[in-house]
Amino acid sequence: MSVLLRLYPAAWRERHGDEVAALLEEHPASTLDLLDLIRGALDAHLHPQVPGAARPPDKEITVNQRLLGAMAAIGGIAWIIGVASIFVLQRDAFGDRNLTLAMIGLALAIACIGIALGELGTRDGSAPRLRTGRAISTVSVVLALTLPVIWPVFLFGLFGFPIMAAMLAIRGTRNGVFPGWFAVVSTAAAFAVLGGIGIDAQAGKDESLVLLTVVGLPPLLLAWQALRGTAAANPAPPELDPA
Amino acid sequence: MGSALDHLGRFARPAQQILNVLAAGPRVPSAIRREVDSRCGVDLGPGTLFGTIARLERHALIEVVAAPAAPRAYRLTVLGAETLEAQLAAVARKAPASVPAANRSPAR
Repeated sequence: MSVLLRLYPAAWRERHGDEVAALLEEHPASTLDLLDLIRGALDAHLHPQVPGAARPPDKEITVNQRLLGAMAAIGGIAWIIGVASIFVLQRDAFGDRNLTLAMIGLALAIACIGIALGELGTRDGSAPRLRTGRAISTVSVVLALTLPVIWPVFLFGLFGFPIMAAMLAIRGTRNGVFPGWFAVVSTAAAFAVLGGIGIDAQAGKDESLVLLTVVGLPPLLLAWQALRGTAAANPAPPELDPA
Repeated sequence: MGSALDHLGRFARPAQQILNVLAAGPRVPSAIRREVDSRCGVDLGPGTLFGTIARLERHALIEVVAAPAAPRAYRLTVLGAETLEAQLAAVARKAPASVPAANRSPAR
């Protein structure tokens, strides 16, 4: 039962966990009850009703914001250099490019941008969202570490990451911590990449990767915004679902 | 016109059932569940029960009777009592039209 309760947000467990346990002590859970608990956990995440943990002090937000802004800037620059370097690298004896340098740049970029977006994009003061942000940051680091090693991960990172970044930007905008234009620019960059790749693939060209450089621009804009201290200087209050 | 609890979506019906039970006095969640089952024939699962309680509490329709730990008892607030009253009045307004139809004697 405690396993099922762990599906609920921490703030919810803190408020109602002991009550659920007391209820189930008196009235052992049937299979339908277990399903209802799972459904309830989903609802508790999608439509939070219990206010989350206390928001960190403003000073801490400001310091973290500066650090995350710097990471976004490093990530954006590393991404642009990483992708651009693919085209200037020397070909080896087999006619293939030595992508090691590019991969290191892209891995660094994915880690930095992922951490910055994950933390900033999900920050609104509520514990569940912060946990999601940290999960996304962790995935980005794992992706970055495996990027140079496993070829499919490289492809996923190169083409999937722009989409993930755009989704995070949209989420951050909905949370009220990113300005609307950031979501628009990020989404446009992701669609430009996908559209360009599709068009180039039909035309039989292999230059579609050029478009991937534009993905480096949104993190730079985010960094500029974060370093100015406006992105989360006034974080939105914990979001509670109206229903 | 929609009812006062319509904004709770799928939790509107359990909310009304819980408010009805609490109108009789403070209850702990297990007692609420039992009474809803016996009155309405609906077994509220724990996820639905606490999802509804959380919503009612957030909308200040119910409140915890001071208790340090579980099981905590809940009671109606003034707003909750007014909402329940409005809800019942709305049902009563609809009833005159539906009762004769429901009680209509079978065709001869």
